[in-house]
Amino acid sequence: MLGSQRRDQEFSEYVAARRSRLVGTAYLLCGDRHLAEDLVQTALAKLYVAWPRIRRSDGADAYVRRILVNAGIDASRRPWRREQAAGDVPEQPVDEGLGLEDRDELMTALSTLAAGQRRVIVLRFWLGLSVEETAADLQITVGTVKSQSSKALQNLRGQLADSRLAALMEDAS
Amino acid sequence: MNENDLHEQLARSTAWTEDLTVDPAGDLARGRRRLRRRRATVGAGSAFAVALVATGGSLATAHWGGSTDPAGVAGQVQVERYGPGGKVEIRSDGSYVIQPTPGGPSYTCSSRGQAFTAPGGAPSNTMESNHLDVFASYADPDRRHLVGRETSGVTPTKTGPCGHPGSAGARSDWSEAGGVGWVEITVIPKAVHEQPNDGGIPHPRADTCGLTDDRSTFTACWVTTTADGKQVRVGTRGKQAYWASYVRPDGQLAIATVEGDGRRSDPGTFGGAEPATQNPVAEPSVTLAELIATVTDPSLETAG
Repeated sequence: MLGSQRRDQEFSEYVAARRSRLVGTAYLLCGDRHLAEDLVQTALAKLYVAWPRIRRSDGADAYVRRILVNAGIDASRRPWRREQAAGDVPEQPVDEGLGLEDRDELMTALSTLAAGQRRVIVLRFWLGLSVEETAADLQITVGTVKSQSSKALQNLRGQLADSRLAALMEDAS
Repeated sequence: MNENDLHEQLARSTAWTEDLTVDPAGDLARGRRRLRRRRATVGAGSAFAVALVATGGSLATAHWGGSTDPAGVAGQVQVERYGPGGKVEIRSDGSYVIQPTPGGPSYTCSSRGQAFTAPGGAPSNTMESNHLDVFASYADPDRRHLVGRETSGVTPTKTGPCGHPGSAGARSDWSEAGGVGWVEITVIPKAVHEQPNDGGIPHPRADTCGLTDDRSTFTACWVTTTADGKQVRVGTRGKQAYWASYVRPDGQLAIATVEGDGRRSDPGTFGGAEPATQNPVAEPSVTLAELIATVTDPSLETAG
């Protein structure tokens, strides 16, 4: 098999196996479905270019993860992020597994976290990386991962509790 | 909410992704386009493309003049690959033969003007541009720092099978405080820098903190306006790296970059995340104002 054919085949298999998960990861990082799709597209295109090198080191997951983690939150916060015309936005189906309000509640809570805390949450509790792996990925110390993780959980608890309390009070009034 | 609850909620928040249609063909096509563009950009960075040839890399775009050569070529072939279906043979003398379609005509492209000799192993070019002189006039008039390896080149725009969008640029070591970084000044044509990326966004991307691509390691980017009303995009990575880019009235994009650690993170196509120098300059004394003055200087040579 020629090198290019092999690259195409291996890359396609990787995409088929991982793409949905990557979009989910990007979504948790940036909080926007369309931006998440953009980020994944870009990350995979980069991965394709780097495939021969990445494949040898068996590091495709880590490579894409780093791109998403580095780009995700920053992209969603940039003031020059491009805007989409309302007519271009497709209808968004409501998740079956989670009510729209609940989902928004969690995503709203995530959006209040500092960028570093949000990255740690996604890596640790969504992707299931260990403290050490998270530290290596984010190029921070193990201690920082632990402290950010702790603060992030505390903040999320506070956010979600406040949100639910507010909803209850609204219902009662 | 404990950690298990959180994982559960995260999983439910992303449950919608399980219903997404996964079509690897789309990602494959975007990846191929990116690869082609990267190779094309290699061609556009004239002085630097030759370094790639010298190291046996691929060069997908024709870069110099040539002639139809149905009879094939003599000479040692170094590399043989060219996009889907076609091929390019890069020979030891730097010339190469392009066959865009299988069984179709071949075109021999010469390497005119690309006779690089390398002080210290770095590429240099016999076709000199004025970029380093312009930069030096603002940032290093006594040439105390622009010492070491340097390369410059102007590649005229050519059309036809061996055609290319012309470009002009220069790169030099930047020596300071016992360390060595690098400086690059480039003017690239509109046809190159405005190529849409995978998302259809023309370069320079307005939504990334990078010059011509989104793989930059620069961490802060903004637009500044000069006293005479020119809008210049600038970026920094701490105190170790800076760039400025300016779209000239003729549509060409002028870029000036200084990196104390030589990561080549942006612009360029060989950007690596690792420092390219063992002895980096911690804080190059080049200022953003000097880079801005350089890129807005109308005397910077272009490829025409």
